[in-house]
Amino acid sequence: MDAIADPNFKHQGNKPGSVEESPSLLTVIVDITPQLWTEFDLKNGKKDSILDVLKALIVFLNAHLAFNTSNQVALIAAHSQGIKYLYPKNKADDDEISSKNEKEDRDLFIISKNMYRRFRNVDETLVEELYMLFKEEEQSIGKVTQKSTLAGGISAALAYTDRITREMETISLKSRIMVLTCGSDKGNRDEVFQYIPIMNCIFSATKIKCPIDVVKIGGSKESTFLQQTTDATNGIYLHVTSTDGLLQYLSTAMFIDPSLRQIIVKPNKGSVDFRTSCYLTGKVVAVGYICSVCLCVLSIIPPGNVCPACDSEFDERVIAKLKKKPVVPRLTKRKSANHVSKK
Amino acid sequence: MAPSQEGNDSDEEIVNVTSRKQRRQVHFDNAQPATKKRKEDDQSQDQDGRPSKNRKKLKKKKSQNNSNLQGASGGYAWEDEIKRSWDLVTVDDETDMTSLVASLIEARKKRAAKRNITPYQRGIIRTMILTLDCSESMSEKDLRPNRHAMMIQYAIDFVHEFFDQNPISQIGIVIMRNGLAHLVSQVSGNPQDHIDVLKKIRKQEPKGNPSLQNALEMARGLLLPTPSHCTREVLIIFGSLSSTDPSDIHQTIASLVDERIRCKVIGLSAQVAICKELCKQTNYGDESFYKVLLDETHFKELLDEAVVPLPVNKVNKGFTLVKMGFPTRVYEDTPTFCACHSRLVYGGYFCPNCHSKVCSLPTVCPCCDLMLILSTHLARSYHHLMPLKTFNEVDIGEGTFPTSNCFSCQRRFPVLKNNKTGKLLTSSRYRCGDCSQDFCIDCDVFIHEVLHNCPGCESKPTI
Repeated sequence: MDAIADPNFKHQGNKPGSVEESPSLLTVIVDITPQLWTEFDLKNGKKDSILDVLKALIVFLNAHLAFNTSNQVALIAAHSQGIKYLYPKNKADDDEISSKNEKEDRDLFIISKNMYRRFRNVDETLVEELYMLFKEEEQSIGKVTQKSTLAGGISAALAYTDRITREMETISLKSRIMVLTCGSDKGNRDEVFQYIPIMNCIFSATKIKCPIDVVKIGGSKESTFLQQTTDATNGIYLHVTSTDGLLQYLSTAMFIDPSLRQIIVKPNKGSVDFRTSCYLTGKVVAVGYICSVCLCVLSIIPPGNVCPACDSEFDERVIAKLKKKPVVPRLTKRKSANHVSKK
Repeated sequence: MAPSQEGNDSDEEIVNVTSRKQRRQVHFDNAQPATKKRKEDDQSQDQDGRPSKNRKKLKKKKSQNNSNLQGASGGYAWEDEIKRSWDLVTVDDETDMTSLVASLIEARKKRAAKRNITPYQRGIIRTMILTLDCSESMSEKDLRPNRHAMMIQYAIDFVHEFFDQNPISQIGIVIMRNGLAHLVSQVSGNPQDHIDVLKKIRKQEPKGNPSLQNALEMARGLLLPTPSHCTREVLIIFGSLSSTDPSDIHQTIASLVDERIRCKVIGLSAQVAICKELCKQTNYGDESFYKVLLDETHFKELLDEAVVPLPVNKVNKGFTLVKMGFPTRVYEDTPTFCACHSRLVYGGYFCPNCHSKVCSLPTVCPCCDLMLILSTHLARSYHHLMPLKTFNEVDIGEGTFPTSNCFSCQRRFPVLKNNKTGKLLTSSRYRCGDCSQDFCIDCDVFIHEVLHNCPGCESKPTI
């Protein structure tokens, strides 16, 4: 890493005729809910895989900064009790000088003093904030967590992206969002509450032209909502089974420039599950009925002609029309029946 | 027109800026004697022999009659000194201009963030006929570069926005030109078709007279076959002050009322009686559907209003079930023909009813007439049904707040102080009532207009 800061490399950057790329902002949302990662650890028989992930992530962020001097990064952690910006740091915390003294004897040994300044700024803050966050997490063991905070993280990331692009209007900053999450075996238990918020995120991401990439580590291969997210925003969906060589995955799949995504074969060329389920029966619907008022999907005509979700009464004539079955002429039926009896 | 408008607005918004208020009062005190003097001068110049006392009384009486013409200082508005909006704002040595301007900008954005958040039952599936005036009056240059060009540009934006917010709705476009109504774009749910047509019209010169009746009759004809669960709407952009009609337009209006077609008119020049009547009749006595624009931004605002689906009312209820298909997407290695355009494409969607392939959604299956949509299209309309609560501005109080950064974008809240008194002008914090997180004004606008999610509430671990 230090080698990049070496003056020997300088002349390569200023090659005559090299095209100046426009700077870009990378916002990463990392799900560090301890419960998920412990489950993952138990399953794989490994220890502290979250540390591997975070290490890989730091290198990944540094690599992004190295591409262009005006590149920017932001990192949001979605933990069990809420979300937290790990970088850029909340400035108000700077006042607490007491924490600075402690900083020396913490795990900052991984960051050398001679490191490239921009890397060091990011890395120091990240490690520092992560340390604080895990301490907080330690205290909040036993608190109830009913849903994942990922959607909140994506919402905040979109708001941040919107702000930065507005501030940097003159240099036409490109932006993208990357979500790093760990899959649980319990499936989509809490995804139900996330449907509308994630959908809203998708629509605003398409509006501000910001692709959302997703890296899912472990768990089931599919993740309905996150796959839909990447599909709708022209992002990349990557499922990784273990944390080994994660950096390799990240750097090959996640650095594809949005303008090149039409040409390059992306890892997510699979089918996306767009199916809807019925409000009443919970079955997957192919042809269904939709209440024109609240847009809830039904696979059957509800009893009593009343929408189960919004209580609006349906027009009887329309219901009668929908219930009408196609008429099969009797004549043909009888004929075929005769044939059978003759034989 | 525009600058004076803004001046008035800012008057209302920032009365609590103390230095300005004082200045204004001083200003008026100066103005009053000046106008009086001028009056007397006028009298002395008018020499018709009457005693000046009587004359004064007459003048008083007259001024009472025309009280609505009077300016703030008691004289007529035109007798007042000219007040420029930029004269009202004065900078002392100590007052910081930037903080004042920043608070002004915030006040303006705040107004934009105000929305109606009552959850209505709305007619989500809409059919709208966009009727554009392409008559000679559209070549006027009061909107830049001229009315026609601006209207087309805004209409293109409108079509984008409309389909973005109402993905399962349909639009048709009719233009009024040379006394006739032309159907330029069939009723369909594909925004690209409409935009292509609008781009073509941009090159045409506006010509002749408009005919409101012809356009309305055509719109009525187009809306007749729409099923009962769709709302039927006509949006007219009307630039002229008259309409050249072949017969009685009132009969047309009556038939529109019978068909439950709702009309909205945006006037570009002045109020026209027939438009007002049309809107009133077709919207069950509600006159607010006819608006005349004030300036270009207002034009945009009026069009944006039309994007939001209308609330369902008792008379116009369309509570029905609609049969729809949710197709599955397929990927193919070899291209096959699609049923909708007969083009060779890789992959697409298979209709669950008849298994014909279509290349884009939402659409109506060309083979079995089933409406085909994705669940994402339905989700796009949810925020109309469940609007996000508005955030409340935090009181200035003692000037201490729990956080100093915006929750969602980490921007430091600006400290806008009146330099003389040291008082805060605004707190610049907007708090969500549910999660009590503070947001900056830009995020407030972004969250309510684009995101429709509260980042604070979504990041709570409990429901």
